Order: sequence, then C-alpha cells, then structure tokens
Amino acid sequence: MAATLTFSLYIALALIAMFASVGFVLLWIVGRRKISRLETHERKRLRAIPFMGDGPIPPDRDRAPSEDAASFSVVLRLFFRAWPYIKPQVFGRWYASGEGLATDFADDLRRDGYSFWYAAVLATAAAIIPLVTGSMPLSTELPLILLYPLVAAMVLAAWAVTLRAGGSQTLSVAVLVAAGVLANILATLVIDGIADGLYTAGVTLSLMLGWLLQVRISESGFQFRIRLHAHLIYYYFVDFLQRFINFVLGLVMVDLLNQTIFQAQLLSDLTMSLPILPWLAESLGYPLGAIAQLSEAQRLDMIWLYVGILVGAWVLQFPLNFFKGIYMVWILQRINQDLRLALVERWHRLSLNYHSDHRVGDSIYRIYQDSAQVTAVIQRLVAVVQALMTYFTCVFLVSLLSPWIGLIAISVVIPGLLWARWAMPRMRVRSLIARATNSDLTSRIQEAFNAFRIIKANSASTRVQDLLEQDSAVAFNAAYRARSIVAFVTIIMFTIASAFLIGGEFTMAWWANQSNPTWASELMALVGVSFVVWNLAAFNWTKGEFDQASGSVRWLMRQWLQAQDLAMGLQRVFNILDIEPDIEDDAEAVPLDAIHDEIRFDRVSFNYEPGRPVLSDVSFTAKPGTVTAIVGPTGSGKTTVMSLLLRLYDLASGAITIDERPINQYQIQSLREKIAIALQENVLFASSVRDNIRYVVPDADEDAVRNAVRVACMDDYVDELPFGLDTILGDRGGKLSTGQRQRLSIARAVVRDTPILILDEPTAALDAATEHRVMSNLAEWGQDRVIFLITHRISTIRRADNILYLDEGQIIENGDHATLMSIEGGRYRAFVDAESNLSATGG
Amino acid sequence: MSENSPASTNTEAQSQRQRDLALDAEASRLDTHTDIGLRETLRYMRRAMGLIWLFPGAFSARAFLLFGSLAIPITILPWPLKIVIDHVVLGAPIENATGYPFYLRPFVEALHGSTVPEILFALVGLALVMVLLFGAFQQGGATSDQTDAFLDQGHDTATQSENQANWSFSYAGGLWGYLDFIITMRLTQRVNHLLRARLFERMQSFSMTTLEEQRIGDAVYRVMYDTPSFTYVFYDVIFRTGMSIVTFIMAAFALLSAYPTSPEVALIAILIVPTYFLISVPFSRTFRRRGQASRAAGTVVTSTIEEGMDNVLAVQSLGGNEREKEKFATESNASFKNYRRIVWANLYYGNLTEFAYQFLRVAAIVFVATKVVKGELSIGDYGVVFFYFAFLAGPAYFISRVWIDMQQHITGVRRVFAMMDLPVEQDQGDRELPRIENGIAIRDAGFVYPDGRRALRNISLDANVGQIVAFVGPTGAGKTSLAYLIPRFHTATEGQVLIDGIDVQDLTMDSLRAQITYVFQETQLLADSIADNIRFGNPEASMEDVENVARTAGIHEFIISLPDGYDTKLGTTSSKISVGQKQRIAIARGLLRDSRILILDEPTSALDPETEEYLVQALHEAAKNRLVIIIAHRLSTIAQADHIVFLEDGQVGEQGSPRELMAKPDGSYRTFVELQTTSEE
Repeated sequence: MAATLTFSLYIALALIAMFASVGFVLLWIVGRRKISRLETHERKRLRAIPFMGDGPIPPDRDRAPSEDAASFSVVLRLFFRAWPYIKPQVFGRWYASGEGLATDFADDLRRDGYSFWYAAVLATAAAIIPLVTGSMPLSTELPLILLYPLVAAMVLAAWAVTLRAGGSQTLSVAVLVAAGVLANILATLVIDGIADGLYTAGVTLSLMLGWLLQVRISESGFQFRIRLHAHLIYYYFVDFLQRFINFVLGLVMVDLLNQTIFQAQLLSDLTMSLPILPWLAESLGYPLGAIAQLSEAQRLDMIWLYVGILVGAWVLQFPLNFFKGIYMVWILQRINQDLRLALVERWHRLSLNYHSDHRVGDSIYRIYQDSAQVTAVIQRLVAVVQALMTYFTCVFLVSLLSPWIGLIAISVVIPGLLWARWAMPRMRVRSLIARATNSDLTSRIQEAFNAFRIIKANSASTRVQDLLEQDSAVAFNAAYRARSIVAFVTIIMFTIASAFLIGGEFTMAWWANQSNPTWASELMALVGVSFVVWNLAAFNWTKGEFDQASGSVRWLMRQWLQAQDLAMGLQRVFNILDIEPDIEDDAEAVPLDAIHDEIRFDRVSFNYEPGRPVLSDVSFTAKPGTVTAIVGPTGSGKTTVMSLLLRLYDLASGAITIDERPINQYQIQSLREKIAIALQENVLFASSVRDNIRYVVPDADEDAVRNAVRVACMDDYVDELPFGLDTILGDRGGKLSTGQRQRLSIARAVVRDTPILILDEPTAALDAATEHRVMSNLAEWGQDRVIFLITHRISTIRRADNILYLDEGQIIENGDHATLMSIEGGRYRAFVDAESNLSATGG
Repeated sequence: MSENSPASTNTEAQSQRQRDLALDAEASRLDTHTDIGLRETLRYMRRAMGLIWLFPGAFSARAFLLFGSLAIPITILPWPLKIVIDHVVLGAPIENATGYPFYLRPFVEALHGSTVPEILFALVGLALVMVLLFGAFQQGGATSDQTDAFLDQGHDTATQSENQANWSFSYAGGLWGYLDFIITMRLTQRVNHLLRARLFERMQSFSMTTLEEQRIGDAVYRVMYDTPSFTYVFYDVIFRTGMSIVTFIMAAFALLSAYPTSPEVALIAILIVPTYFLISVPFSRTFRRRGQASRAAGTVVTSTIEEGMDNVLAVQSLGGNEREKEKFATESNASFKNYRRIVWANLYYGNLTEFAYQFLRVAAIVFVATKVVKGELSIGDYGVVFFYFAFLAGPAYFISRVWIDMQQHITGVRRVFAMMDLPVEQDQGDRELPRIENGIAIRDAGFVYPDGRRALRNISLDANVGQIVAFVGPTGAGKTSLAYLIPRFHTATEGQVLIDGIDVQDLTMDSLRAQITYVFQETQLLADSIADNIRFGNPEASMEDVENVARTAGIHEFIISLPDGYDTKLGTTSSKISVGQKQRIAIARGLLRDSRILILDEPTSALDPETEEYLVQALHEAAKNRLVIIIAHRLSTIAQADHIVFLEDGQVGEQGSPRELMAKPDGSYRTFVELQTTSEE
C-alpha cells in the first residue's frame, strides 16, 4: 500500500512540477504581452513601487532616527495614558440594591457607608476553621510551612484594607494581591495533595467576594451593592483559571505519555496527587501503588486514558473558548469606542481656529487607525509581562538542573538589550512617518471627492490623479520601512538567541549521553519533577524550558517593536486630546433660559491672528422684537460679529452681554441652543430633507417642520421632489439648487424656534419675488425675537430697525434707514446709491 | 443554505437581512444592488486574479521563495533532533540510515561510527547554517522562526486594512525569510497601489450627477479599506492552495520514505480536507453577508466623521456638536456590532472545524502511540511522525479554509468592482475642439435627471465670443442645469449643444473642457496655498499673472495683507476667510485659466456693490475675446449683459438684449425686473 502511495505521490509531484513550469512560462509570456499593451500611465503605476527594497520618501515628510522625540519612558507613559479608557472595563460599575446601576465607574473601595468587612471575617474563618477541624493539616515540613505565613498575610492585609484608608490601604492591597498569587501557586503547584489547594482557594475566594459584593446597614435596612461590568477582570479571571488548569493538565499529560505509555513507568507523584486521576486510572484497571513495570496491555489501555483526558478537556472548553473569543472583542471594542468618542467630542469642541488649518482626512485617520491602537494596550502589556515571567521562570528552572545552562539562558539578554537600543528609536520614527503619510493619503482622497466640481471644471483630473499616486506610493514606502524593520530586527534577534540556544541544547545532549547528575535534584522535586540524572525526560524537559526562555526573548523584542508603533498611534491621538479647547464653559456658567432685555456688544475687539484686527470697538444693542441689519463691504467682519455672539471664538477685549451678563458666563451649549442661524454657505447633510430641517431638533414634530417649510417658502419645490420631505439628499445636498438649499437652511433655523435668529446672506441666491415672500414670512414669524440680518440687498436692509454699517471691523454708522440716509456723504448712503445706480441701469 | 446562523429562525433572519440592506442603502447611493451569489463570487475571483498577469516577476519570485521556505526546512528540520535523541541522549550507536529519508542518508551514513562529540559537532554546524539561511534549526517553538510584521489593529473591518494593504509573511526566517518577506510585501503593495490608482481614476471620471450622489466617506472607504481585499484573492487561491498541496505531498513523501509501514497517518491527515470543506460550505453565505454589512457600517461611520469634520463651521454654529457625537456613537457602535457578527461566525465555524480536527488528531495519536508501545516505532519516531501529522494538517486546514475566507475578501472586491463597473463620463466622440472662434448654439436641448425629474426642455439659443450672456430667471428655473450642458457636466438628453457648429457629444472631454472655465456658485477652496488655489486651473501661470487676476477679482489687497500673503495655506474648512473673499479667489481662478468660454454661476451674490461694480467692469474687459456667461439675480450684474436668456420652469421664456426685453410691455423679464426694483425703491 505504501509503495502504491509513494508511487502516486511521485506522479503527483511530477504533474505539479509540470503544471507549475507551464504556468510560469505562460505567466511570463502572457504577462509581458499584457504589460506591453498597457497605456503609459498604467505602466508607470506598475513601476511606482520598487520590486524590493526602500522607496523614496520626500525629505519634508521624512524623519531621521535622531529626530525621535520619544523614549522608553515616553512609550510607557503613553501606555498608562490609555488607562482612563481601559479603567471602566476593569473597575466596572456598582449596582446598588434599590438604586440601580451607577453611571460612573467604581474605582472606589469604600463609599457611602458600603463596606466589605464581612469578607475579612469570612477569610479569617476560612483560614482558621479548617486548621481547627483538622481538614487542613498543620505541619512543619518544608513546602507546607511556607503556606501558613502567606495565608496569614492575606488575612491581615484584608483587615488592613477594610479598616484603613489612603496610602496604607493601597499598600495593603498590594500585599494582599502578592500574597494571594504566591499562596495559590504554592498550594496548587508545589505542595502535594488537594486539601491545601482547597484551603487557599477558600481564603482567596472569600476575599474576592469582598471586591465584588459590598454591604451596608443604614436606616432603610440592609443594603448591598455588586460590581457589574468589570469585564476585563471577569475575562482575565476566567482566562487565568483556564490556562492554569491546562498548564497542570499539560504536565500530567506529558508525564503520562512519556513515562507511562512509552517507558512503562509509574506516573510521577504530582500526577497522582490530582484526585481525579487515581480514580480514573482505577476504574480503567490501572494498578496503583507498588508495581513498577506495566504490561503492554496496560500501556495500550493507558493510551485510551490519555485520549480520554485530551478529548474531555477539549469538549469542556469548547463553549468557553467560543464565549471568550467574542467577549474579548466586545470589551476591546468598548475601550476603542470610548476613545473614539473622546476624540470626536474634543474635536467638535475645538474652536474653528484649530479646524481652519487641519485636514479632514487626518481626522478620519486618527479616529480610525490611531485610536484603534488603544485596544492593543492591554494585550501588549499582558504579553510583555507574560514573556518576562516565562523567561525568568524558565531560567530559574533550568538553573536548577544546571546553573551553567541558566547562565547561558540569562546572558541572551545582553545582546538583546543592545539590539533594542538600536532598533526602537528607528521603529518609532518609521511608525510616525507611516502614520503621517497614510493620513495624508486619506486627506488627498477626501479632498479630491470634496472638490470634484472644481477638478472637473479645471480639467485637473490628471494632476489630482498624479498627486494621489505620489501620496499612495509614499505611504506604501513608509509602511514598508516601518514593517521591514520589524522583520529585520526579529530575524537578527532570533539568530542571536539561536546561537545561545544551540550551545545550551547540545551541551545538555552531551550530559544526557553521559548521564551526568543534575545540580539541585532536591529543589527540582519541589516543582514536582524529579530528575536526578540527565536522561531523556530531563533533556526533553530542560530543552522545552530553555526553548521557552529563548523564545520569550525573541517574543519580547517583537512585542516591544509592536508597542512602539502602538505608542506612536496613541501619541497622535493624545496630541489632539491634549489641545485644551480655548472655548470652554466657565466654572460658574449658568444656563441661558431666555432673553428678556437685550443683547449688548460693548467695545468688542477681535482678531484671528495677533496683529491683524478683524473687529475693533464694536458696540451696539439689540432687543427682542427688533431686526438688526449688518451691512458693509466684503471682508469687513460682518460674519465674525455673529460668530462671536455664538461664541465660536472668544473676544480679544470688550464684552458681549445678554441681559447684563457676559456670554462667557452662560453655558455654551445653552447659548447656542438659543440662537438659530442660516449660514451663508448652505451646508446640507446626507440625509432626508426632513432630517436636514430637523438637524438640531431631531424630535421636532410634523407641524413644526411644515411650518418651517412654509416660512422658508420651500413648499413649491419640496412637492416636486420624488419623495417630498423624505427625499434623501446626497452629500452636500447635491440634488438641490443653491436657492433651494438656501431656503432649506432658513427652514432649519426657523424650526428651532429660538429667541435669536441670524440670517447670514440668506437670500443671495433667491430671485426677488421669492426673497420678498421669504422675508415677509420671517418678519411675521419673528415678532418677538431678536433677528440679525447680514445682507447686501437694500430691499431687505431698509426694513431693519437698526442698521450697522461695518467697514474694516469698525461700526462706521449706526441707525435706521431714514437716519442713515440723512447723513450727507455717509457711507451707508453711498452704499445704497451704488446699489440703486447699478439697479437703475438694469431697469 | 442558511440565511443567518443555523440556530436563528427564519423571521429573525429576514429582518436581519432587511437591516443589512437598509445599511447598504445608507452606505452608498450608487452601489445599491449589493447581493452576491455564487456566480458573482466566482466571476469577481476570476477578475481579481487577472491582476497577476501584470506582475510576472514578483509573482514567480514569491512562488519560488515560498516554495523554498516550506520545502527546505520541512525536509531537513525534524531529523537532527531524532539523531540527538536516539544517538546522543539515548546513546544508541548509528548503525544504518534506514530510518531516514533518502536525501539525508549520505549525511547520516557519514556519521556512521562517529563518536558522540563528533556527531554533536556536525549537528551544531548544520544547525548554525540552517539558522542563518532559514532561521530554523529544529521544528516548532523557539527553534524555528517565521517572518511577519503585523502591527496592532482594531476590531472592525476598516482598522484592519493597514495590515492587509501591507500584508506579508514568510514561513522561514533568516536570509531566505527576509527576502521572501520583503518581496511579498512589495508585491502586495504594488497590487494595492495599482488598484487604488485605478479605482480613484475611475471614480474621478464619474459624471457630475453620479459624483453628486457619491458619499465622500464611501469613496474614502473604498479606496483605502476595500482595495486591500484583492491581494488575498490570489494569494489564497494560488499560493495558499498551490503551496498547501505541494507541502502536503512533500510531507507525505518524506513520511512514507522514512516509515513505509505507516501510510495511515498521511491518510488521516488528508481526511481533514473533505471534513472541513463540508463544514464550511453552509457558512459561505453567512460570511459574505456579514462581511458586506460590516463594510457598509464602516462606510456610514466614515461618512459621518467626514461630514462632521468638513462642515465643522456649520456644526458648531448650528449647535450640532452633541448631535454629531451621538450620531457618531451610534454608528460606530453599529459598525463594531457588525464586526462582532463576523467574529461570531468565525468562532462558530472555527470551533466546529477544531472539533473535527481534534477527532482526527486523536485517531492519529492512538494509532502512533500503539505502534510505539508495540515497539514498531521508536520514541524518537513518535515525535517525527507527529511532527509530520501537524505538518500535514496545516496545509489541509488551509486548503479547506480558502473558500470560507474568500467570502470575506470577496465583499471588499465586490465593492471595488461595483464602482469600477459604473459608467463613467466617456468621450463619445474623438474630435478635438479647435480654438473656439464663433460661439455656442443650443438647439432644442432638454435634460432629465437620472431620477426622472425634468430640468430643461426645448432650449434654443446662440451665444458668441465677444458677448456677455446672462442666464436669468427665478430660483429653480434650470439656469445652472443649462450652463452645465456646455462643458458636458450634464449631457443633454435631447437636442444638441454645438460649439462652433460641432456637437459637444462628438468632442473629446479634455479638448472641450480645456476651453471652458466654470466658476461655481458654491465656492470651494482646496487645502493648499492661496497662490496654488488660484493657479489650480493653470499650474504653469507666472506669479505675475496670478497677481493680475487677483487684482481683477479685487482680492489682491486682501491677500497681501495676510502675514504669509499668497503663500497662506488654506484649510478646506477655513473660516478665516469670508465667503465673499472665497468667491473672489474662485473668480480669480476662473480668470487665470484664460479660456475662450467663461461661465460664472452667481459670481456676485456675496459681494458688496462696490466690489461688484468693479468686477463687472473687469468682465467687460475679459469679454472682448471671450464668451462670458453669467448666471445672476442681481440686476446690476445682468444689466451689463449683451444678451439675456430668461428661463422659467426649464424653458426659455424670453431672450434678447436687455433693451429689447424691457421693451415688451408684459414680458416676464420686465415683470421680474420691476418686482426687484420696486422692492428696492
């Protein structure tokens, strides 16, 4: 049978070789021909990125390793800065009886009289009672004697945490955790028997209960609170438990296979100390006790035992693995969502000054790619800590068999550290370049689609296409450099580690060949493995440990490289979060409820950039029921006056008051809620016409919407749209003409029903008749509101109660139409004359 | 095939499907028929694989290196450890080389009779060479290296695209692995670059009406995050399948050569393929749909960020901060949730196959361990045979996963092809437009939007070089639509638009648009310096020319008052410049292009009368050797026109010189003018 198989494999190999060579020849012939037929710009694309090796990055986007501003400590700090977004998943939230789930996360140990004293009591009981009843032996023998002080430390620390507060409490928590971990490892791994394990677990669990469940007794009786949503803790608890069980099981399984099945020897003591195994073995007819050699039949039976445990363990873990997978993704997504939201929120709170010179694609990149890095913080930290622990444990264990091998294993660190010193700054710099260039690429695409009209009108497609291709190639080159250094550094690290590993391994093989005695066999027994001389099992075991030690050094390097990239991503996120919004609520800000008296600008000055005043000494008042028109040449600061009222910017000097109170003493949100504005640039969002009208008041009812549509004279065209108010508009409202958008923008302002209405050139694109209708509707609608109007149209201006003529940021004239017209040589009069003259020539 | 998870009921599945479709509709206004069946999947796969013809060099290099990275280590690595265990640790002398594959027999035979230190020395040498070349001296654990550079990624489809666009992996380390790694990464990047460029080019040449429907976030998503799916298609189909088969055969070969008595292990391993495949088939539809939903949800989030950021002025002035944040929160959550649905399916499927694998593995354990106990195999053999089992199981697993993974990649591929397949503005003719001498003649032209709304009917007019022609009429009368017909932003659905007697349909787009400049009503600036913004349509223009047109547009004084003057960088959302100033920069841009036809759509709406008057005079100057078309409401602007076309309801109401039109007693233009003047007086 094997011969037939081998023969058919030969045939298969020959066939594959044939197909492969034909394939390659074809690939070259057809490929060459296809390439030669391509247009030149397509061929340029094929060559844009090199076959292998670095590609060019323009010097202004490049950085040298010496420009690396971060360092080991900066990276660590960035990791810890991510903590506020991870914290909620660690501490969870309290669910109190009668009060429900709290909204803030539970980083408090004690509050509102809740306490966990019962846990200390329980733990004390769990520590003492078994000793008294004798279910837990009191012994002075070596491993066991170590356990008592640890348990005692846990209990004492628990009392300290319960009774003390402040810094000493933190210390006690640290002692508690450390003692708990040590005691559990000791009891499960080192000490024989099951009783000590149960004993330690009992104490540990009662203490964990205190963290999860707290009680208080108040006038209203007994109350409790439970920590919910501490997802990361739940996850890692389950995960730790699972790993721990698998680890113990793994020890037993190797023992079973190598010693018992293959070499017909008894299971080691450790294996037999697990209560379930003797029972299993006995029920399978496996002789326990004195018999040294097993018969072949017994060994064959043992194979089934081995298989049974293997499959059983796997079946039991099946649902757990499934659940854990989805649970972890869910937790990480929550962390990511929190950071994304923080970014978006901060972004929208940053003043327009910031946004003026920022690219939109950059925002997209930071919100997506950079912020996603936060999800890896936990994993990276856990992986690094695990790798370190594995490394030191393995080195320690190996040293027990031979200090020399231990020395070899520990000295790998020296070249490793030197190598890391070279590699990490380079990784950071390259990662930053890659992120920045990809950001640029995203911006390029966004801007191109945003400006498609201009591009088409100017036949600039080819140029824009070239720019995109340049950016894309640069982004790929940058990504290549960041990633190839990862590959390079890990390959070198592996080579270094391998040299040590090969040396160690072959030395051990030699010792095993010579059956040399091992170094500290008594100490080894503590760990549950008894290797007195170097034999196959000792060789395999030590080789495994040594492998792991060397592997974890390489792994550590890989993780740390990845961590640099992660940190650079986070840095780009925190750069945004670090920008303090220059416009923020005052600590004593009050909400603005209504406008009773007046809005007053008092000697207001403002500039976007120092030295270039946009407004100076602007003063006026506006009362409810009046219309104030702001007139003046383009660029005289009309729109800016209104931006200041909205507090989009803060003043350089002077004050804007509403009912005698400066607007920076009102809460921004409440202030902006009282002001509706129809913008000069009619921004529409990609949703239905109705939703565009209700943009800020999503719960506006149908009547309100209909009324707004009527006031803005939108009825005529809305009825013609394919789905009326439910017609979905494209991005930037592509389906509507400018005049239609302008009216929609007015409707959006009207539906908000606010005491202040600002119309910024609302009717520029409307014909006279429509404008007339809209303005009369607005006049009627705005009877008791403050209306501001920025416009050039005389017909609209002349109805205003107050006209401000603005030039170069100053109010030149101020009054109603008649007053201003009566000023001989007045600027307003000249303005009106100019407009009418022009119109007159038209008429 | 199951609609959703096998567990869910039919109605739940229905509503989920409806939710997915609604999501698709929100994600894109262009790509609306999103269903893919088996046929489409295969067709897209074929099309995606067509790309490999363009990369024969990199592709064959990758194939060769990949083959080497698997074949060389696999044939050598397990054996040195067998020698160490059997002949060093257990100290059995090397007698014959029967337990070794034929290609290693000379090496083993050479060691025949050697002392233990000699054997060790030879093995150390072999190990070091292997480490340098292939980054491995034994199999598994820390003794063999693999090369990758995956960086951390998020937990939704978009954030995983960076790792996909730069995907690379080598089964080997050392010199070979590094070479394999960098060539593969460059191949991936080259394919992605080509695709990005092609997709971007294609989307840029959509017609105006199509582009108006396109959501910008969707465009960004497709170019950045969907294109990386492509490389997977042929990596999976060709490399993964091909190499899996080859390694499988190699491993089986080595195994049979060493252990001719136990072919069962190879048979057990090969059973993995049909078993997995049977499990995977019912899942394919689920994976496809969930992949689509995840991408659609991601697109919606991208669009929301893009819209919010791009319109930050509006958002802040309208007080929409909270609303934008909430909208983002909901959509981002939905995107995460849709990604979890993929994770869920993956876990479900992964655990099922794992279950099958465990059974086969157990069968192999029982089989091999029994032979060891019976003394038919040595203890060292157990390791080797098991190593091969794992090595055989790997490729078998990969092959059986190809189809299921393809479902996830095909969703990205489909989104790219969906755009590539949409019609673009194409040259319908191939005539080059010579320098325009006379002007435009429109004959019985009409235009109907793709959604059936009629914008224009029966338009006929003449406009000649040297004239200023004004399109006038109430809002929504079709003025802009009419002007769009001239540079073919819209293609007339009936009638003809003639330039110098040639139908614009017969002209190449480039030659047509090169002579027409259109200044839009909604002014838009590019994120670039002011000078570059003005130069956009004519990048070769000298600084002097730029300043001249800026003076004409009345913006020069303002620009030089800025600290950086013409080099001032503008953001797309720049709020430091007023709308009137933007409008004038846009006009300067239009003037600089110096084309024969200049179309200005409401150029003066945001200008004060003085600036306007100045500009209108400048246009007169410009009109001497041009045709200037102005769309305007302002009488002051219209009055300067030589010819007025008055539009009403998509038809020409009246046309003629201002004087002629005003002379008609009840003419619509006259009524229009009177309404405006009375309201102004």
